[in-house]
Amino acid sequence: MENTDYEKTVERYLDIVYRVALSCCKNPYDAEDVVQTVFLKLLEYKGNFQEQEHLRRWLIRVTVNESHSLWRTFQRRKVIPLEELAFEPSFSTEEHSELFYAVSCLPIKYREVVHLYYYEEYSIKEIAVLLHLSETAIQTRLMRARKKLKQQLKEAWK
Amino acid sequence: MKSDRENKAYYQHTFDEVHASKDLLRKVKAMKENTTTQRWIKISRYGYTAAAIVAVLIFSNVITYAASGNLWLLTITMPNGKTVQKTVEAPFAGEDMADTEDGTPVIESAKSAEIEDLSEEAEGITAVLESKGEKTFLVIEGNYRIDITEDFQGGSCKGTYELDESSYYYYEVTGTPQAYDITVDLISVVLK
Repeated sequence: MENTDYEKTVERYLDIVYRVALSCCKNPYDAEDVVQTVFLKLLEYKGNFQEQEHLRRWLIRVTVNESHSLWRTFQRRKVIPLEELAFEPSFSTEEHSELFYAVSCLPIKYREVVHLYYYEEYSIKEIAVLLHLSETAIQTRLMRARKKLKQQLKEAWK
Repeated sequence: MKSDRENKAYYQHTFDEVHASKDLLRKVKAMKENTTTQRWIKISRYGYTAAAIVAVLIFSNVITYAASGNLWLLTITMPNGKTVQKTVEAPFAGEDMADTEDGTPVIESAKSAEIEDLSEEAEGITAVLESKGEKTFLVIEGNYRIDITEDFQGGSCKGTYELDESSYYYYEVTGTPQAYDITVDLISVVLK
């Protein structure tokens, strides 16, 4: 990838990749590690992207996979600094802050599906392809995640 | 569905406020200038995996558990029918522990580290790469086929899959379609 193409790609997709990583990892330190790994993999990638959507999906899939890779690391599960657990970006409203907290309380396999569905607006079928899971598994996760969000957010979540 | 649209808007407005830092933007852009190092890393990785052989351990469902204080006794049926019992720490309350709709407890990935120890006691089950035309598939237990063609182009790929409704696995493949390493770990289990 040429320098100018790479820079444009970073500028265009950095926030998207970061949000997916943060949704999965829950703390900015891990999310930043994942983001750097993802773009390093992009630099190493030998294939061609036929269109922007192809590139976007590739970046999201690699981000989810790298987040899982980090998450399963033994040390990460044993010791998590308190400041990381307490992390929350500053939001303009209390409602936004509550939603972020509620999402961060979901298990990782629900968080990633919720983010891809509600933020990236992928269909259940598309998420199933992205995550190599069945559509039924995605539907089940979404249903359970919605229920948990409803329990926590009450009227704010329809 | 109106409510789903409202939820999408709520979610999107929230996450629109989340941005990568300028420092991260600078670091990621600067990685392009370091391609010489990356190429070296890649070559070493190819050399390291050249003589790789497939050897994967995976395990089937956890079928029963018995809680005793802070410990859970898990009874696991291996693919060859053999059962293994393993004592693990009970999951912490809160986010590591989730209840499914029917009240079945789920050990989420945050506490599955102890369960990974089971790999030492599991019998070997094959996971292989299959090439068909230009496509490369990861085949688990001869039944589950995952198309990894695109992901594997760089000489390594990783991902997750759900073997059945109760176990969620992580896989990592390195090498080439002809000479490769595959590792599989259990990252989440639903106790039945």
